[in-house]
Amino acid sequence: MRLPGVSSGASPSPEPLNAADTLSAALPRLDTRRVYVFPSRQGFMLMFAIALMLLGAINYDIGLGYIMSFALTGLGLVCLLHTWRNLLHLGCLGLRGEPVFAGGVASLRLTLDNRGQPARRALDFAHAPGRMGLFRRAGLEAVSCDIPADSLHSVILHCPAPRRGRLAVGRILVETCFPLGLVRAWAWLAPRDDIIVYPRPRGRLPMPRAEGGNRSAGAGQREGDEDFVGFRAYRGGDLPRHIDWKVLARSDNLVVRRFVTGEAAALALGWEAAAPAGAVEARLEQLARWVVDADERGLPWSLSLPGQHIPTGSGEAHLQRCLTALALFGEADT
Amino acid sequence: MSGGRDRSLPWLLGALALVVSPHALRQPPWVSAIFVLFWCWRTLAWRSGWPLPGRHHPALMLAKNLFAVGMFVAVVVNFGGRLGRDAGIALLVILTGLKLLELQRDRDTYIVTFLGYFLVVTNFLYTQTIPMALLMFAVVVVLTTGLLTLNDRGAGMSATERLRLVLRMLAQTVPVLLLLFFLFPRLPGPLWGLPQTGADAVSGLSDELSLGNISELSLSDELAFRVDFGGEPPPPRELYWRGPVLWNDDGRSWTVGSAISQPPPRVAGSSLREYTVTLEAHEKRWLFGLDLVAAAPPGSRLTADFRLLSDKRVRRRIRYSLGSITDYRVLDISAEERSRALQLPPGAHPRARALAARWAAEGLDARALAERALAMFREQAFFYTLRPPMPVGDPVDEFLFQARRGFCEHFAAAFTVLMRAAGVPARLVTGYQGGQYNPVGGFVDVRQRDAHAWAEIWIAGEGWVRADPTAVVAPQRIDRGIDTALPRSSGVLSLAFRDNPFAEAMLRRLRNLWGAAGNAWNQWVLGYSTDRQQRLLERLGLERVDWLRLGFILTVLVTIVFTALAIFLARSAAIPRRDPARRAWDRFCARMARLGVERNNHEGPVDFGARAAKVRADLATAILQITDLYVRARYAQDAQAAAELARQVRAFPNGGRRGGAESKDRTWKK
Repeated sequence: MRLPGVSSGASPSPEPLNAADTLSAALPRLDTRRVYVFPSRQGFMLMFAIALMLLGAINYDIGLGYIMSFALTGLGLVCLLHTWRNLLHLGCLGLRGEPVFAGGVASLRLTLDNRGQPARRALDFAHAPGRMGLFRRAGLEAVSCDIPADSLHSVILHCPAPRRGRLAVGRILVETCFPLGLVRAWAWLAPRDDIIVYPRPRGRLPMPRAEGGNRSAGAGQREGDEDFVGFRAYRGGDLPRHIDWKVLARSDNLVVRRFVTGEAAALALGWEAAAPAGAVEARLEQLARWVVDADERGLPWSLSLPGQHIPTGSGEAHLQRCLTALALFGEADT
Repeated sequence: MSGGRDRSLPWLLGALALVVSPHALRQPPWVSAIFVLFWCWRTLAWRSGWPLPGRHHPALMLAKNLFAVGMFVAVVVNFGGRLGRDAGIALLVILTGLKLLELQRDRDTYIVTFLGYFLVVTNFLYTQTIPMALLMFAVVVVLTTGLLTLNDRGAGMSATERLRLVLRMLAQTVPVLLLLFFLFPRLPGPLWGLPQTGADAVSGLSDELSLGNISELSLSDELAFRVDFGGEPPPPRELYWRGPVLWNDDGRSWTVGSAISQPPPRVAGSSLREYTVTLEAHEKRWLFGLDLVAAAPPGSRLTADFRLLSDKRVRRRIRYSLGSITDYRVLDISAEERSRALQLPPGAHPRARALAARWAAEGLDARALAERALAMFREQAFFYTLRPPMPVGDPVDEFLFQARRGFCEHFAAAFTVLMRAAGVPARLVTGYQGGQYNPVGGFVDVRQRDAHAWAEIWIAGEGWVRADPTAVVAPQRIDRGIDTALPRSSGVLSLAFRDNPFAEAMLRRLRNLWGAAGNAWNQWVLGYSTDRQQRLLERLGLERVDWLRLGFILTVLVTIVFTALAIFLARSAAIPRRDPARRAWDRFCARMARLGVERNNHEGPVDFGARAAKVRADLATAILQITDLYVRARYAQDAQAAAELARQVRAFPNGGRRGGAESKDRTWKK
């Protein structure tokens, strides 16, 4: 399932991602002031070895010993510049996160701009909200990648999303020890984008009755061919034109698109109906449960929250809209 | 992560084999054997999955640790309990071998690599020749490529690319290296005590001459010293380099004997020749100079028999300047010298003494006696050879009356005996004679095979006069060097080119070039010392700089070089030079940007061209043409279009330089 982008959070309605959208979030390329370098542990080890060599060279008067120590010193300096260059001028066109349910792990797609630049190797990206020491802290889950010369490249990072709402991605650490591991260069990418985290679908309350009386959920619908409401497994007799061939191509499952004719009975999912679930968060979780269930069953539904009403609808876009409304409930709009 | 480590392993193994191999010739065989064992074990573990000590094989791990302790003890015992240079290196080699077995983490690979760098320097403790330097350079390249391979975790680079990057980085190191090498404050003298290396196989003259010694020396091609006359050197027959003077004859061998306590006698002479000598280490105290040295350089003194004695043993290559009086005349002889110059062991050389007594009875003076002896060598059947028969009885008598074959020391010793027996004060002088002039470097090479022995006799009114009986028997030895007197079989190359004068000349030229390179290497790389640094700084106009200022200057210069390299690297772009279309297009975009129309990231060439043409209607034709050409060159592989594009872009107005246009155009954006 591919969820449309939600990078510009002002409007919850899904919009196809376009170039201008991405560019609005583009960060300036990493310039000299934003790339930090410091010798790595190995770098300090080499310095120690060089000091020993130089002492030996002075004491035993070895001309080539001097040359070896100075060559390694020079190599360290050159390595420092190469490591620095390995990050310098790296652009970031922004971050796109797929919405995620609370308690899950969000995938962040970081688009890197390396156009007109030489290849970069062995870059580590890690989502690192906290502060870091001079040496890389163990336990930070990093994604390692090479970036070909003159290209756009994307990296997918994961970050836990414990609570619903807007998840500020915070800082992303990019670091490298290439080419010789003697020096570590790092920089912080701080995309302003955030990710919508939906409330976790949870709750045991039964689904509210459909609108319009005593009919049980779904009673008013008939299989037909007017409105698309969802998918179900293939049964003998289904029309071939209802088969979703794309799904078949992907997964070997015969799935048909379900259509209903006539007025489907709409579920009215309301703030009040979820009241028995308890406090605000519990109610939101219950509502999310219902919304997801309704979508799975292919039922249309409407959602009303205090100060907000989303009219009856169904389908992917509707689902997104409702879940987003639940996620952002009570938060400032921007 | 372990991919990089595995791929770096062959580089590491290769480099370690190279760096340890010269040590194998010097270390006790068991040390090398242990290293080879571990090396092979590691190689087999890598290629065929042999077990290694580690968490999975605790028994092996324990065995390994016990072994390490055992090795330490073995080394201490083997080297007699002293942890000197050789023992330290033995430990280092074994440790490196052991460490090869436990490359569990990246850190271990770094440690072994740094051990490898360190082993490079330990090799220089023994030899610092150009071939050794080249070999060690190869080691550094391979080791560094191993490090690069370790860090290229994505395996995105081919071996060639990695080697090329390492070579490029090493080339970029050169400016910093040169600055540090020449300007890093050089400390004089050792920081702690040098180990007693002992007289291990340093060739050179000895202070004793028993007939049969110098022939071994004669064949050695090793350099004894180099002399720079600052121009054409004197002809070879004048190049007598004075070494030990032997006074005492015990019947079989000659020795220096006890020192003569007087200062050097007075010397008259008018022509002074000045030169600089670079003497190789020979573990003895004497220095060499042309007959006769006028004054001793600092740190040495001149003895009564005009030998130069250094205050300390010559344990490293040294350089000193001398002046020699070539037309010398020694004015005095002391009673002590006269009696020692007439000494003969009682009962030795009876036949030689009898002969000399006959000559003396004829009433000849000193000069005539010497002429008589030389005439005997010239006229009778005496031969110069490097392989004389071993004497059984009295060596001088046997040489003079039976064998009649020998080399310089036989002739010189026999001559000295004859002179003393005839009552003429005489002494035996050893040293070197001749040397090969290297026109490329402008210096004279004196090698061990140029070792020579001659005699000096005291003639009243003339002083000590040199008499070289070898010159009478084998004049070419003196005039053209020992090469003509030696068998010509030395060296495969000379053998191959024996009958080809042209090739022989080429070979000589190559040898001269190699010699000149060796000299420059010795002077600038190996012999670059506190003094030379001071002289260099003075030549650069920095007189008497102290450490602090030198350090400051060095820091500033390194920073400049470093910054220049940083700018160069930061500007290096990915666009291959061979894509002229892309280059021209980028230049066009830059010019457009200066005109105020910046290409947006999402704009392809066609869109950008269209927008730019709209914004700058005045340039629309050129813009659209360029855009079209670029599209054709890029996407239709149209070579002509590329050429035309470059031309058009060059002609396109470079308007950004005019400030007015820029500010006006800024309003067009958005």
